[in-house]
Amino acid sequence: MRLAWIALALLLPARAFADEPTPPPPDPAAPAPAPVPVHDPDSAADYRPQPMHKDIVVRVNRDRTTNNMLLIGGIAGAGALLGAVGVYYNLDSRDAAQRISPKMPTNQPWTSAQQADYDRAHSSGVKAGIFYGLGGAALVAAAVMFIVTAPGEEETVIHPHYAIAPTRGGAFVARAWSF
Amino acid sequence: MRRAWIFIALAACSPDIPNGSYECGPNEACPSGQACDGPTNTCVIASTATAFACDPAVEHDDNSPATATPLGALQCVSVVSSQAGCLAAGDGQDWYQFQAPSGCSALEVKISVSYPVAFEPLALVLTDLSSGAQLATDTACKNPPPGGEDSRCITQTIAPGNPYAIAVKPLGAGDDCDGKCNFNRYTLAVQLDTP
Repeated sequence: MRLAWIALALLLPARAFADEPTPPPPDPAAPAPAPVPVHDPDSAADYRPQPMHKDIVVRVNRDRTTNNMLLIGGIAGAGALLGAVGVYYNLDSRDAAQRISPKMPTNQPWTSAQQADYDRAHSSGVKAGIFYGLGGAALVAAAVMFIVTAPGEEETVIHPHYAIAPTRGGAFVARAWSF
Repeated sequence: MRRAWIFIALAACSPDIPNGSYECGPNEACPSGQACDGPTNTCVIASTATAFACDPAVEHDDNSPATATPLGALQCVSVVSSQAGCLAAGDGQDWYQFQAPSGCSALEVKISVSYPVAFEPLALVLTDLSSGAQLATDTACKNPPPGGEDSRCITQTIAPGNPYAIAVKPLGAGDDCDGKCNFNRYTLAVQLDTP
């Protein structure tokens, strides 16, 4: 990057104050020249690196610890597992419910077999709800823990400086960073 | 769209049983929220169910062999003679009688009674009125009726020319809703044949 800056500096056009031109010979007919201003070292351009107005802030996220990742992953996995169990009971409940939900009159009596399916549809539906709730709670807990236990970030502020120095036929541009 | 179908598939897990989808099971069993409708033996919304009642047209004073309802004249090989009947609550038995035709080389009577399973199960007894002996009691039928009915059968060789009586009575083995559905309607079928 610095090399790119240097290369860019070399390609810049020459600044007007790079070299003073050779003074022409005095013309006797000409009026007396105006007095040449005296070079004042104190008012000369300061070629020392000057601080830039805006700092560069670099933020790097810290890595999670293995234990943290295992804990959150475990809770999330348990939530997914509980949800899967909920799906199983949901499908079981749906299967039992469909067995005893006719589209038209069956001409069959309501027997203990149908009652067993009815009870299974109800109990499996309740179990599905419980497991969905537990699984959802575990997933939410994992998400909250993921946010709460975020390791934070490391911030580095870089104070850039620049300097421009006239050279013969161009200028030298430099950039420096301090931490 | 697919997600919507998955949601519907997962969500639809409650039984949806329309009114009248099922006939009443034993002991007037019906799905939750429904009750047995007495006149139709079907499970209906509980608030619309009506109580069981015997049709007065099929009730007779037939509680003894002497007052039995005649089944009419039967031939040696007869057609099926059907008779609708009803045992009201507390009615212990209905009697029917027939005369076996004489002049037949051999006779066999086939008797069946079919009834809704919703109410109290019924039984059959065949009696020879000439001797007063009980000839046979019912067994399970070879071809039970479909749906919400059950049936009991008697197949018995009888003597030509003798009078016989058939009793239809409650089985008395429970399944009467603890006494709350100790009644039933039935169809009695009698046929004579050569064994």
